[in-house]
Amino acid sequence: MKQTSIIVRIDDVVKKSLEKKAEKDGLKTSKVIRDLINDYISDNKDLTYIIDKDKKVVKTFIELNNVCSSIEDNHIRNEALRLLGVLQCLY
Amino acid sequence: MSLLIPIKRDYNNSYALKNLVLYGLDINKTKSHKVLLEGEFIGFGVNPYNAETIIESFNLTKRRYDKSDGKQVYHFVLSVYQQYDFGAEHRLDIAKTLIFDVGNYLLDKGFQNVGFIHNYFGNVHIHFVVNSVNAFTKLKLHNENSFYFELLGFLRENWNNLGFSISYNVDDLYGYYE
Repeated sequence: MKQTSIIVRIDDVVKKSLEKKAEKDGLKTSKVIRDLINDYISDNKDLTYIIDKDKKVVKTFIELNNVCSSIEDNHIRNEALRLLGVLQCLY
Repeated sequence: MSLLIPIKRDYNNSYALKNLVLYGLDINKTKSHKVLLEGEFIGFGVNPYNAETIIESFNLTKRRYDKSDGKQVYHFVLSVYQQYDFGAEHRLDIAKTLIFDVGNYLLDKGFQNVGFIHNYFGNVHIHFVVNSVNAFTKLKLHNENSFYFELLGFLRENWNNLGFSISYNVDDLYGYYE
């Protein structure tokens, strides 16, 4: 898995309690924080959903563009593409 | 014979995409709002209603993936010419089929693109404008050279009769006349 870094700013009190917990468990403080974040994400599936949603939105727009462009009736195609253009601008 | 000509310019500023699309459509900047559709151009994964919707289709992908900075587009030209040539009309017919093959090939890889067929006094060529952000992988295209060589491989495999080669000299585009 690709790992990236992130800077987290926390209160002194929180930092001390995290250090205490790390000392108690014999772990590094960074490891404790990483576990906490991972637990939070696995408990809140909607977070990963937000990341996946971007891909789905873009793919769906591409498919919609292709489908609307292939409509044979000129009038209906123009109207579909115009409305899709408005939607694209709003998104 | 036929040439693949990558146009190696920066295309970094926000007007690059608009300028390229308007150049490809060969329309006045003030008329960009008019309905197109009837011209010799085809969009793959983009909305071809008018110039603005084409540009917006590219920008939507950039915005969703938060990659609006840096290089905006890639631009290359395919010049169509056969060894035993039957004139500009025949070359135009070839271009109309070629544009679908290349456009769909790029879209399958995840790159939205628009192809514009130009006929400059019998010199038939296709301008391709390709989004720098891949719509399927979120990644920006960085290795430009391997991208063009893969494309050249595809062209040689599927369009063997056109004898494609690569050239980085834009002047080569105007080497052939009827």
